[in-house]
Amino acid sequence: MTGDILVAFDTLNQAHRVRRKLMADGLYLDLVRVPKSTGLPGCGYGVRVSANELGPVHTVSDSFGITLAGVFSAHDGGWVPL
Amino acid sequence: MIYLDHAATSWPKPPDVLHAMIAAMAEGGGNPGRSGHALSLRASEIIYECREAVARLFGASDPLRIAFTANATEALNLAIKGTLKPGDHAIYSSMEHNAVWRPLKALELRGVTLTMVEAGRDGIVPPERIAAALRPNTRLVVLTHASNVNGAINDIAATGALVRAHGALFLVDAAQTAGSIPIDVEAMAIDLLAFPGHKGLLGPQGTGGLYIRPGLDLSPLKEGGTGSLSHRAEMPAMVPDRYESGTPNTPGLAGLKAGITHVLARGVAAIREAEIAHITRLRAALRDIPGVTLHGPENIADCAGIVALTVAGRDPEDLAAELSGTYSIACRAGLMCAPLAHATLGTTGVLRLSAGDSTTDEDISATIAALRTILF
Repeated sequence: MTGDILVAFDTLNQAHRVRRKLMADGLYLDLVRVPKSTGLPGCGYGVRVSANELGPVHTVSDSFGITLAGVFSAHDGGWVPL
Repeated sequence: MIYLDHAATSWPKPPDVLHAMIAAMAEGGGNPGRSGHALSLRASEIIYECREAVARLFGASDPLRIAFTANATEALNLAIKGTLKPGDHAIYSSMEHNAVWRPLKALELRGVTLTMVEAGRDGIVPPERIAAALRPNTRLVVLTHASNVNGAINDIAATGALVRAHGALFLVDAAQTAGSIPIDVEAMAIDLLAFPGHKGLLGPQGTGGLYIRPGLDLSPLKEGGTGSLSHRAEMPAMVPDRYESGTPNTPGLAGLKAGITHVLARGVAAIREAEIAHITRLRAALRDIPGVTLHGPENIADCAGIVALTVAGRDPEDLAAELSGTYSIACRAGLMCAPLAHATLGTTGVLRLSAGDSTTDEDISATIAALRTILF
């Protein structure tokens, strides 16, 4: 896993759409389950990114009309809202 | 075996379809959207890639607007029951399959009013007849792209334009055309497109789907687990999760993706050209046989890859049985689940020969020879 920022989506399908567009643009991102430590309810999926990759994720998500479920940073073995 | 029953299901499938299904079970055998391990994630990627392939084929800009179903019938049920409410008016044609007619008639019992528009004797539904049937409360117009009985092709773009101008929704049944006749949902003003995976798209049986135009919300046909927003009692609003409860058919969708990849590589226009060549030969040869009546449009450009015929004094079922038993030629006879179409065409059953991507010139030559032997 790479990246100390987790971008969470409400659904795996949205995560795939954003991730595949970014991959087509040359940015490879790991797809992961959203841990419970984020505090998000339900079962979400997300992508792990580094700080400089967060901008493109926002840009692509916005262009698709996809609202992010949350953005978190790694902290003390868990995740806190960024 | 000479296979001329592609309108029922395509056969044989391209080898890539079989290989993809086996690989999906061997390498992506997890439950997609339910877990975070590699097998589950790979399975979900396979399904998303299939969604992208469908969207590309039909000119849809957003792959998330493709909801997968078990077949075209389920997609049509989702579209029809997901849009119509008591007090709504719906229009359908006299060439529709029971997959359209039966759900509409079921809704009629719950307060939906219906108008059936008669096709011409050739099976084509003139757009102006649809226009004349529109009412202020018309919510949905359902039209087959091509008849499963005689292959008559409807003018989807012209009908779509007038339905959209009226403010109604346009549902197209692409069971006989997906993969063999070009479809562009945006250019044709199609709001809902139901398609099977196992016919012209060359995928396995048990696959199909519905394109849902952006901005359009349907009531789900079923509720259940989606792997998303699982803490809520109500179904998610996001597409396609809203319409895809339950574990999906991952091996089937892997096969469908391979089938569509094959279609895209061949080119829909090239497939269409080959099918036209086959049915042109069949029609020309059959016209020379005494007692044969062809049931379809005169203009070959108005026909999908289907030839429907009757023979004076001969039961179509008997002819199909003789072609199968004596000549190993697979075709279909009967009503084809479309009794309204037969009433329109003035038949009580036909012999249907349907070509597909795998049909060869030799298949057609052998079929013509067999029919000449049987009927002369």
